[in-house]
Amino acid sequence: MTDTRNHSAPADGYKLLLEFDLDTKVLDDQWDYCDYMSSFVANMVSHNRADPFMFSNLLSATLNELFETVYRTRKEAGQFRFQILRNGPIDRIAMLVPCSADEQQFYIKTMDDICAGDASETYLDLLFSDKGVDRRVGLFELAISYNAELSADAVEDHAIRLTVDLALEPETD
Amino acid sequence: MANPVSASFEFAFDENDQVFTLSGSMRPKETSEIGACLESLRACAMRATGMFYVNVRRLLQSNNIAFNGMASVLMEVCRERPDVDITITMSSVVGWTPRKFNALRRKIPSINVVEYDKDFYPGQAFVEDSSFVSVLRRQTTMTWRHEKHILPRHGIGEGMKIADICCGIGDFAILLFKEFNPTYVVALDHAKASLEYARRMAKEFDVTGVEYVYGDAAEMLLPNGEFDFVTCRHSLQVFDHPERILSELLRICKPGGRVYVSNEKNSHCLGEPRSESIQWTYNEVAKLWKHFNMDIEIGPKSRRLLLDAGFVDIRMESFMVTNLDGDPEEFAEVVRTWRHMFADSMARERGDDEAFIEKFKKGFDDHIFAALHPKGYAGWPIWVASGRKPL
Ligand SMILES: C[S@@+](CC[C@H](N)C(=O)[O-])C[C@H]1O[C@@H](n2cnc3c(N)ncnc32)[C@H](O)[C@@H]1O
Repeated sequence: MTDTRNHSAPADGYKLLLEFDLDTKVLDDQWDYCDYMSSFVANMVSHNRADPFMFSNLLSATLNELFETVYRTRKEAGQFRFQILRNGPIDRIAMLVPCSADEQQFYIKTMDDICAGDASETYLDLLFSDKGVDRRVGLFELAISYNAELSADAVEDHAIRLTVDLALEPETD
Repeated sequence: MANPVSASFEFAFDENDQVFTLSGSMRPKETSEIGACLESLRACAMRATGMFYVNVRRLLQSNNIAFNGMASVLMEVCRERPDVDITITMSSVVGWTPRKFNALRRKIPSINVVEYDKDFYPGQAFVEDSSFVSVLRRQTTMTWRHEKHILPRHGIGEGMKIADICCGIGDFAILLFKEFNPTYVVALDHAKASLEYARRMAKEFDVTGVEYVYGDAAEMLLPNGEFDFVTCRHSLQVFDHPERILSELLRICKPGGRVYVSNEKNSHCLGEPRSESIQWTYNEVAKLWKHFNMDIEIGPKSRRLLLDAGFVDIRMESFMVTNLDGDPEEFAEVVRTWRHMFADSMARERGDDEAFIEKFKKGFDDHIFAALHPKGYAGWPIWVASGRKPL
């Protein structure tokens, strides 16, 4: 993992805090990496938030849901790319996941469902499902419970790009 | 202070209080990985009579698999044992919990979900009031003149990791930072208004080495054995169980490190002239605090409290803040805010009549009179004590 804090400042105002690449095969083998990566990233980028402990707790919870979703995605061989960027109160998580066209459709369809009028009820149904956990639940949770802005864009026919914008701290002043 | 990277969790059942406690981080891949825990939760809840508590105050993380598993068990218990009253106690300090457990309450309205730290402490409403800010600020200015010289006798040194628990508006943490050049300072309090103030002040003074953390001193999420020096000033006196706070201070202190507390004995505030009226009023202050289950007389009890908590090598001394230390007007201003807080707010809350409040206020006015009198003397005594955590 590399800390690229001082690198490029993209034109849209987002500053890159941290990024890394990981072979999808490694990710497929290692469930524990979801927890490890969430905790690590959350700890790395929380210290200059107003309440680092609270921020880190929430960021770790949200990142872990994303990593678990990616873990359960049938991935293609290649490099999984993770970035976290910041623009004022907003933290942007960007992930590039090599996957098949079917899996691209899973993400695109889930994004549509999240925008539907009954998304809050769907979220509760998924969360309390008695058939175990549906893998859409994490994405719904980010949108419904954390008010995140999510998008999923197909990259040709071999990857999906996920972008999640989160404002985890209450506004002050 | 960062969340510890922890993939492990613990669970325990307290038969006596019917409390099932979950702590740590639960992020299993499959529900079966936490099967033993869920089975135990189910068994304990099914055998419960009356109230059954699930304590998640230290459950730092849980993924949806674990949460779904827990919720399924609780839903089953609700169905099969409608006579059992389930209450989840969570802490507002663990950010993810209110969102998730409030969703659970929407799903099963018969489950109670409470934020344990909100209504728990007797005097919380008084000390978390934002008008408290100005009194804390002035008090620290006056006590710092003494404590700056006292602290080294209690083992503070350069390059330490320091925690200031119940930091109030955070000014003491900044003073420590400037004076003793620590590696870092974590300052924790439970009043959001005070923490906001603290962060603004740190920014203003360009201090970046102090982290202000929202937390509950009785149940902190700071790791064991982390700090070389732990301070807790004027705060044991606002809890009805100061020993609980001391055991937490002991826990986060490094073996061999020291915990430093300062406390008052308000009935010993004094002044000349008009000493009798002053003494009467401060005796009444002590009774008033007692009414709200707080002990403003802890000062001289600090030694016993530290020994009972398991500290060794206790060092203790006292000092008197007086009108002669600096500008007497400063002293008078602190007494004015006490008068406001104790007479206008706390005594009225207790239901005291106007005649009492008048007399009560008179003692504060006389204390101010003594402080500003050209030949007068006014004092506020403080006891500081520290103990070493055994290796
Ligand atoms: C008398 S003030 C002392 C503040 C500071 N140490 C000083 O000397 O200026 C007591 C402080 O304890 C804090 N407090 C009360 N209950 C608390 C809790 N459960 N956890 C952490 N802090 C708490 C209050 O918010 C308040 O800031």
